Amino acid sequence: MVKPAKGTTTLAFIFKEGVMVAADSRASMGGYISSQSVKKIIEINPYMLGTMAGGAADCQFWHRNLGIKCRLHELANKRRISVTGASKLLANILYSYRGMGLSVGTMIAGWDETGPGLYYVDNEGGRLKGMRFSVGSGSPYAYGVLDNGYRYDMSVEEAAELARRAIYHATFRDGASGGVASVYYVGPNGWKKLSGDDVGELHYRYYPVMPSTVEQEMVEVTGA
Amino acid sequence: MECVFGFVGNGFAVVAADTSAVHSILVHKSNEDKIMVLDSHKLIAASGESGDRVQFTEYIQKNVALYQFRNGIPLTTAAAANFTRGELATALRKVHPLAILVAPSLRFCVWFVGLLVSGFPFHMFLNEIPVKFLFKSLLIFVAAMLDAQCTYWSLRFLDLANLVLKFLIRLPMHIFLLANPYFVNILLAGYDKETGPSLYYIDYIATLHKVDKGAFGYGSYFSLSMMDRHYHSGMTVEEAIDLVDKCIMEIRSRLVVAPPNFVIKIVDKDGAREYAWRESVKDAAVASA
Repeated sequence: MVKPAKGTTTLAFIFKEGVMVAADSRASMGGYISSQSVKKIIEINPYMLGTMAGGAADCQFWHRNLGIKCRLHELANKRRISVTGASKLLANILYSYRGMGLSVGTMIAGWDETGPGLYYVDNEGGRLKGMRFSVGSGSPYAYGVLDNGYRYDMSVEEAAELARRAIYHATFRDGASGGVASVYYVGPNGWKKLSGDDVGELHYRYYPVMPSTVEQEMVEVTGA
Repeated sequence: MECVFGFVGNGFAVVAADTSAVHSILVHKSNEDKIMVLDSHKLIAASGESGDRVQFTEYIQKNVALYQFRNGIPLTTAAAANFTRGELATALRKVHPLAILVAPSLRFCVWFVGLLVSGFPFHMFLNEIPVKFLFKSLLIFVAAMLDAQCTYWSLRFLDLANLVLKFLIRLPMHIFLLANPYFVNILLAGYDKETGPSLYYIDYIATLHKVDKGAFGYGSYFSLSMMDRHYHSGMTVEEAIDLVDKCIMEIRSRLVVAPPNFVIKIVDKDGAREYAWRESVKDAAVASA
């Protein structure tokens, strides 16, 4: 049958100030939540981030491998590798393993000489350049919030809040997403982790419990 | 879902392709250019699996460029088309070098099990000699067929839907046949000084036809008949673009998963270039909240 979508929510988008990357932190094995504290944003090098969706081992290993290749490129060419180059390296590796059961749905986000860069790379070897991506089983929910609230000229705080909100809404509706919504910002000086909020707490922050008047009260029946 | 179509006019060839990059129900991108400029006078419009499409067309592009560097003259369109078809055909049947140890043992297991089953003396339960002989020969026949059927049925089922393709076809093909084919359909349009414009239809199972008009994908159900009806040889550019627009309108209005945006590219004596985009949804310029 159709392979179920990778159980996670990750998103990234380019805006005026740089790239915003956000992800949830839940790992699920079928209906069992195996962890609520998985690091799904992988630091490839100080100015490039990768997101994890699909097989955790596959993503971690191949991102680590990509980090090695990027460093070797730096040493050989005396300059940093571009996001285009790094994503192409990863896409070619994954393409050579196509059909062999790797499960990787990742976004490579970084800042290089040409400015902010964002690429989506998956285990089939597909590679897309874009301004906004969301990957995982919760991605349709995140796309809705993200597309609606997106403006190119946002400030860093506004963009962080949009990313956080989109992850929260995805974790609310998707069972395979949850835990902590982490938000990272990639700017000209590299990446920086902005926040990591538990989505349960976020829920009550966005939708606080209002004391409501009681409409009907249960009263003791006197007599018969 | 991926609509590609094109045809030949008076001294030019035009191809149009949709521009959406889709993953099951999600549209990741709606301005993905699927028509690659192969060299100065050739266009390659490809539809198929995302990884295969980009990797295969880039591979063809680099090899065509290499030929030009080595020999000082560019390939003709016919030569490029035959090269492309050859690469697809090789990948369809070639043995994956790494899997050469694994796959034969798997195939051997299937064959061996078949042999065991047929070698089992079921016939000892039968008493009549002629029936016994017939039954025994039937079992041997079954074992021989098992091996052949693995090959045949894996190839037969190549026509199933794209999603089943990956896990019920590609994986078994990979394991049992050692084949790793490129699932890309290509329309190769080119202009040669001697022979004029030409269009080649190249299927993912390495079919090659030189055609006047061709189409791939679900959109072909609508665009082929439109082209059959309105096409005539020697169309001008204006007439051709009009026909392309007619096809796009038809696809947009009748196809349930119609892609919103299309790109049109043209190749003539002045070279291969982008002609126009037909957009009904603009990507990344969303109305602010």
